[in-house]
Order: sequence, then structure tokens, then C-alpha cells
Amino acid sequence: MVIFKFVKSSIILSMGTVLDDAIRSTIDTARLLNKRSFTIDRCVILVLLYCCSDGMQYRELKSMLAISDGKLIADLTALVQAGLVRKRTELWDNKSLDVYTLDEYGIAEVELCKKFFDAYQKTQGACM
Amino acid sequence: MLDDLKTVAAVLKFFGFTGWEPRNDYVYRFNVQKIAYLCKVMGIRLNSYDFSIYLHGPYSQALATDYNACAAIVNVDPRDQSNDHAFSGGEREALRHMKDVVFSNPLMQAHPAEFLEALSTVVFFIINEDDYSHDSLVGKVKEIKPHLSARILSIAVNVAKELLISIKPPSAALVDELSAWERMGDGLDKDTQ
Repeated sequence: MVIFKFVKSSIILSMGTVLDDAIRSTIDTARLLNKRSFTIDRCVILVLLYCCSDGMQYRELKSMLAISDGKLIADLTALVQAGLVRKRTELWDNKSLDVYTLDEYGIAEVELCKKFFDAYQKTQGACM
Repeated sequence: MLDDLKTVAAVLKFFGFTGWEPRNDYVYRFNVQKIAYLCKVMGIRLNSYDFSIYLHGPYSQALATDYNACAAIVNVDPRDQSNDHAFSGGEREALRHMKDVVFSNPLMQAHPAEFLEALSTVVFFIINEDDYSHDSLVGKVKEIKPHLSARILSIAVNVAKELLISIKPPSAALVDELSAWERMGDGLDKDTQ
């Protein structure tokens, strides 16, 4: 009986530690996230650019996100101003085309977002 | 992986597609992706490159990783005429067919990037969904790439069918449809005689 109680309390203690670590990690990582990048549309833009290392055209982002020009321009401008995304203009079949790529700081930001969600997922696992 | 990148570079030389400059880096690589996809479909050995359609597609992240790591291999100098890559007989035939059907098309001069984008996307849907219907193909491509013009898409569908006829025989349904049209044509011939 004593052994049973000891094992049970050890399990509770170890689960509590896992949960504590996960919650602490979630909060700590969230504090590190750049507040300018952490809206859902901006997160998605960063993830898309992360997956496509060559960069993406404005019109590709627009058709994938299905948001208005005003919203997309505002989000992209904010990301460029935050130093996460780089914008350049290229000649595309004799037309000018805006291409967006992730800056080094942007890559680090996406990896930080990933870390945040990993920590969040661990919190969920520990609560089950 | 680097062997496949060298194959891509050899293909670019074969087609004379060697216009890389620092200021058109993005567009050049975009076109390289589409050409590499078409080559893979036509049977050129590019085993380490898998292409997906949804993001920037057809697009291979492995190919992007390779040319970002070894840019000098694919940024082919137009003055470099040497091409000692050993293509098999079948591969050489496929490349010649591509040159005749795709690279001789006037759109390759006027709108190469949009034409290659439209063509490779149409080919992707034909290969993966066995869809040969003109309207359906145009609709599917337009849905994910609304910026492509109807004119370029329409030409791309016809070029894609011509390109693939040697490697992907039309489905039974399409053969039936073509036979039906042929029979109707026979009937019309008799009526007019």
C-alpha cells in the first residue's frame, strides 16, 4: 500500500513537472515572438515563404490566402518593416513583378513560432 | 542529388535555356523548376526531385535546396556550348520532342515564364488526375493560378496533350469520344458526297 502510494505520487509529481515545463516553455517562447509577425495571416505568410525558399510572387500569396489587396499589402509592409521579409522587383515576361522572400531574421522567427507550437502541443499532451 | 542537378544543367544547355543574370535570378529559377518538372514527366532521370503542385507548383523543394547550395551548376553561361552529359537514347528522343513541341512555340519567346507555368500545371493535372477535358483543365488551373490568361492556358492545354501523347496514351473514355467524332465525320463525308 505504501509502495502504491509512493508510485502514484511519483507519477503525479513527474506529470506536474512535465506540465510545468511545457507551460513555462510556452510562455517563455510566446514572450520572444515578434508581436508584429504574430497574427494568423502574417504567420501563414511567413510559413509559406519558409516552405518556398525561392520566394513567392504577390499574386501567388493573394490567391493562396484569399484576402483583400489592402489587407495583404498591410501585412507584407509590416513584415518588410519588421525586417522579416524582403521585397524585390523582377522582370517577368517584360512586366515588373514583386517577389517576397524570407530574411534570415524571418527564418529565425518561423523557427521560434514552431518552437512555440511544439511547447503548446506538449502542454496539451501533459494535460490529457 | 548533385547528379540530378547536373542533369538539369545539361537539359538547360540542350534547350539553349541559359539566360541567367543576377537581376533575373527569381524568374530564371522559376523557369528551371518548370523545365525540370516537364523533363521528369518525359522520362529524364531526376529521381531525387519530387514535385508538388499547391505551393508555387509544380515545385520541388529538393531542387531548390540543391541549386541554392550549388548555384554555379545551374546558372549556365550562354557562351558555354559544351554538353558532355550522357543522356540515354530514349532521353535524347524525349528532349528532342520537348524541343519541337515546347521550345519552338512562339509563347516561349513572348511569355516564357507564364507559358511554362501554365504548361507544367496542366501537365500535372493530366498526369495525376488523368483529366484530358479542355474546359476542366482550364478550370482547375485557373482556380489555383487565377493570374494566368485564358489565351495562354488554352494554348498550354493543347501543347500539353501534344507533349504527352508519346508517353501517356489517351484514356479509354477519350479514345471512345474521338472514335465517336470520327464516325460522325465519316457520316458527314458521306452526306456531302
